[in-house]
Amino acid sequence: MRPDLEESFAAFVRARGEHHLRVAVLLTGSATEAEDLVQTSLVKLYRAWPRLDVSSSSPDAYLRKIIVNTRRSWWRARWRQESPIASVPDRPDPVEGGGDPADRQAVGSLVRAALAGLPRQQRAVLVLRYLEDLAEAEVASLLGCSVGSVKTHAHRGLRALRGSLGDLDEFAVNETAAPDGEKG
Amino acid sequence: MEDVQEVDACVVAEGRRLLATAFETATAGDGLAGSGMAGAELLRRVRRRTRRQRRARALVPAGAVAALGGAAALAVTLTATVASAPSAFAAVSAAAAKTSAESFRVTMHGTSNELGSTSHWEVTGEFAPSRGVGEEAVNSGKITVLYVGKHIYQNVQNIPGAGKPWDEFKIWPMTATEIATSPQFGGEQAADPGVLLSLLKSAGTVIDEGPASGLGWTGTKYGFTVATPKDTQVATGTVDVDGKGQVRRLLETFTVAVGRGRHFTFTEDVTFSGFNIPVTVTVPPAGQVSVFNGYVLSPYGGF
Repeated sequence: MRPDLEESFAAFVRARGEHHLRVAVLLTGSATEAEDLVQTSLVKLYRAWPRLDVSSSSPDAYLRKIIVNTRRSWWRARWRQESPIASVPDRPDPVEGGGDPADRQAVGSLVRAALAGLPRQQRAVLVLRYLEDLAEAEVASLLGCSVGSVKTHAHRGLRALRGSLGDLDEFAVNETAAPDGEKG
Repeated sequence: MEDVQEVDACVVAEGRRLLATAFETATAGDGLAGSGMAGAELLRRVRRRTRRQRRARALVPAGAVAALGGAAALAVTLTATVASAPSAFAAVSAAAAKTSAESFRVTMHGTSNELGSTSHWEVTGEFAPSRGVGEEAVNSGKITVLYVGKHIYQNVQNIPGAGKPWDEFKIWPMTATEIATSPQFGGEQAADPGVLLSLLKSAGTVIDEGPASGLGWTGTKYGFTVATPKDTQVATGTVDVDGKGQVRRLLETFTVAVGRGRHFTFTEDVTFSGFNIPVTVTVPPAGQVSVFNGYVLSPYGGF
């Protein structure tokens, strides 16, 4: 690859790699699988990089599509056995002397465990719709389903997520302001 | 499925906050995510994997045939102690070229296997590789793929109400090296049999295995192997060539090393028939197509 293209690819991975890795952790429910998935997807992106017109097409959107498609083909090929947990694990004991960061870590751990317990499509809709902030039509296109299905999975997924988490008040997570342009 | 309904805004807001917390506190594997070094470490690992693939392309053995599309020759090693009989290699190479020059009907049965867990897929279609057109249905029409010149059109699940039903990509012509070193088709993605035929032209070992026959034809069965250095990816199989020099059946097994000592096996069983049938592919109306400007799709395996 030309040196300028190598550098642009490297800059993209340095800037956005961790973001996609974190999203993949939520998508797959497995830290190890997330690493494999993102690395495999980045290798595919690297091969395509010289052919991409990054001025008119977002590498993020393309990488996201690669990740979703790769994961879907892995799942269908039974390469990655998904074993949703039957119940949310016991809440971790608060870190001795820990303050808000530890509580936040604990809540994050609970949410990830609850996500992992959701059906695959619900989990993907929640992550793509409410974390990646994609429009319903874009989520439908990525997942190969109808907009109506996206709405239904979102509704059921949020309800199931909330039901799994139960009462989080004991962790006293600091509420942050609602994001601008909150979508319904 | 229950009636579609909008989600309460408060529930959505809470969901967003919870997901944001899960995202911000996520770690991965060796504690990569959240380390502040994740991007650099990812880059290092991706470069290591792509360097392995570049090394596979670096060797050009004598007699290697340029892959379809005129790109660099496949890097292959002879994996058998018995050298290929010149006539066997020539027969297989010629059959691949002749079949690619004709139109045909194709059925592909695929199987993937890892640690005893198996899944299957089926592709049926009609292709005219010399004219750059083809149409196939994957897994009973869950995905329909059209090949038209330099473009691929994919229609996933033909779901009404999903916005524009077709996605259009530019085709990324695959060299034989890329075919041999890329993750293989394992699900509902584009599967151009011409790509598998092109791999035959770069086989490192070809052996005459005796007579072969089918409905209305007789011919010869050949065994072949295509391997990359260090055996990161190996393709073995048999190809049946009829008395007219056409490929009738191609049975290939790909063994892919996927790291951590694991291997993944794909098998493709491809039958060719209906030679020289008329093949007409109609491009979907523009209003039904989402064009992915600047994006490319490989004709075998998608991304």
